[in-house]
Amino acid sequence: MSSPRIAFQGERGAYSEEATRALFGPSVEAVPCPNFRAVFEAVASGRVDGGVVPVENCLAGPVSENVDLLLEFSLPITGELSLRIRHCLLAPAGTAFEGLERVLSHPQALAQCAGFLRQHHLAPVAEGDTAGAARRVAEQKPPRTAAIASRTAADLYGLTVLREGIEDAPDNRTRFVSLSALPALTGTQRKTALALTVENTPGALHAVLGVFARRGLNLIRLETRPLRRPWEYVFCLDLEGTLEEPSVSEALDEASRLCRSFRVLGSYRVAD
Amino acid sequence: MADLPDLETLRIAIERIDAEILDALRRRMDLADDIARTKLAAASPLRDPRREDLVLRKVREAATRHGLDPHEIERIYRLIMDMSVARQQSLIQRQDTTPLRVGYPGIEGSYSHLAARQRYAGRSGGVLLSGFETGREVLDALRRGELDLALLPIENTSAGSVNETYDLLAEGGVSIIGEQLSQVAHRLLGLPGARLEDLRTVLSHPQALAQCADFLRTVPWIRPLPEFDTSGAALKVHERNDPTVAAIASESAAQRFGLQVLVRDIQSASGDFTRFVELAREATPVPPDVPCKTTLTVVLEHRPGTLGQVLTALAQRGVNVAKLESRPIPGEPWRYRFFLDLEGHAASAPLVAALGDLQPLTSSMRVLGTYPVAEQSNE
Repeated sequence: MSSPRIAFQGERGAYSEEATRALFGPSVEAVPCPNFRAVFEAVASGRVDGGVVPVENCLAGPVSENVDLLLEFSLPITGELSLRIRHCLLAPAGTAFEGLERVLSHPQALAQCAGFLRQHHLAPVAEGDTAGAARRVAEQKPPRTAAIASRTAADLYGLTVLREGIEDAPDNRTRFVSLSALPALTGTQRKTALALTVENTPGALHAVLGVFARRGLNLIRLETRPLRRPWEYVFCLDLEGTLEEPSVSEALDEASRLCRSFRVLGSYRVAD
Repeated sequence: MADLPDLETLRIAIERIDAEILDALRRRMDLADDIARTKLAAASPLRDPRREDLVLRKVREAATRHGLDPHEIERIYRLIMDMSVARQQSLIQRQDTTPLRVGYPGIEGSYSHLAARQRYAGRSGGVLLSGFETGREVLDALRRGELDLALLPIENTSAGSVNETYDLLAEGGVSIIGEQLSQVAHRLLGLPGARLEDLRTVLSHPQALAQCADFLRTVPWIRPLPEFDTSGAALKVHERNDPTVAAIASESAAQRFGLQVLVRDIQSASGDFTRFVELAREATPVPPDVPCKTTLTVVLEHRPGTLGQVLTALAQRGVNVAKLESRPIPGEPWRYRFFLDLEGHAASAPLVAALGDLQPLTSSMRVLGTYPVAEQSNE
């Protein structure tokens, strides 16, 4: 079988490409896309076999755009990986750290290094993605300017790593999910991701969660996203267990009857 | 040899010009007083660094046209502006009632500034508004006592929660004392004469870009780029003076920076609202007959099913959850802090009982504030 074609967002050297290689193996054909929607569209149209997108960072929280795209496109989640993110401060060779004034990167990466930037009085400048910021610094060499990106991006674009691991919290991780194609790397933890809406009455959400609690199912995560109507929400839930387990499938069956809308986004194994 | 005027005549001419300069300065200072009074009444910021940059740039350009050294003229104008602000500040201090000092993120014309103006304009005693680069800077100024109140965006009907505000609330040291709903009307702004088909880039805050995602898909030749605030994006379009660059910002930002509204209806949802929270160092008592909300933040005990138990406890006490939000806890991957907006007063019997039930389920619990529910002005 030929190696799978998997879409990711960003330029070469992006953290998403690292996650794609980790999930689908080194021989994967990783296909760069300009934005998250383009990843979903490429997978939905069949131009690629699958996709990999970040859904949550343990410091910055959910990547809301991808949560919304998961709801909009009905592409099944097939796997998950928690990738350790080590941000590096990159600049062209010969740049002195002391002379720096500005740092380019994706707003999430800048937010994850906010403490470091404040401490060294460096002004954050928003860019579309981390690898793109690295490429700009490498090509245009703007004075007194560095980029925050991965070590892979430094190697790819020939930049010097001035500082490594500049993220505020030592254990910075991002959760990536794979779409449509089954990843090569899997693990032991099983998960089911749901999206549901409930009637706007007191206790409606509690009734749904009560179904899971009574069957001893662990709720790993609960997130709210706005509906287009003011102050109404979609709830995104991650439960421990997969649909193959009777306790899970029975609970979903019961819970779905208490909801206004109910969808299984995926039932999969989490890579170790 | 040329016929030179004598020194005395020259000196008299200079003295006359100096008198004109002083007279002009006098009139400029008087205008500054009027501006201070107008700003207090209209809830505009007293000092706006980016506005000052704009003025200085115009002055430099004018200096060049007059054959003067732009940098020397800039130095003089910086002094004049400092004098002017010092005068405005002393005028405010001489007033009988002290104005309310309110901070918000963004510059003049940003949605936060518009919400602040909507909330405080016309207040007796006036209001002194200050825009800051980030929500963190606003809260630091509030904690240091340089502000009486902070107004921060917390949620938008189409883009969702403002994560930074939740994380700042988790740090503590401030109370939520009110909320404000403000309608958001985004416009696509460009240089006068710019054409939609020639645009290549659109700058705005990521939340505003998200709110206009449907529109942006209809113009795939325009690349969205994130900026730190909407009004700052509009200022950048003005400064770059490039007809291929546009911004998504308010109508007020268009007027502020001399931009043209290229497309009026660019929002995905028609009734798009942003909810702001009003923060103070101390809680303010809410009269018992006013409908109110209580915001709570909890970290749950690390065992299965605690979130379900928390919601069950609230439902059994008849307490309705208006909103539930989770945020990651730094340093503890995949553990969350929850924020609950509960209907009712923190001191009401059902809430007191419910909070008692929650205690054993949580490893930390804090009431962030009880405040009157904002009215939804229009749909």
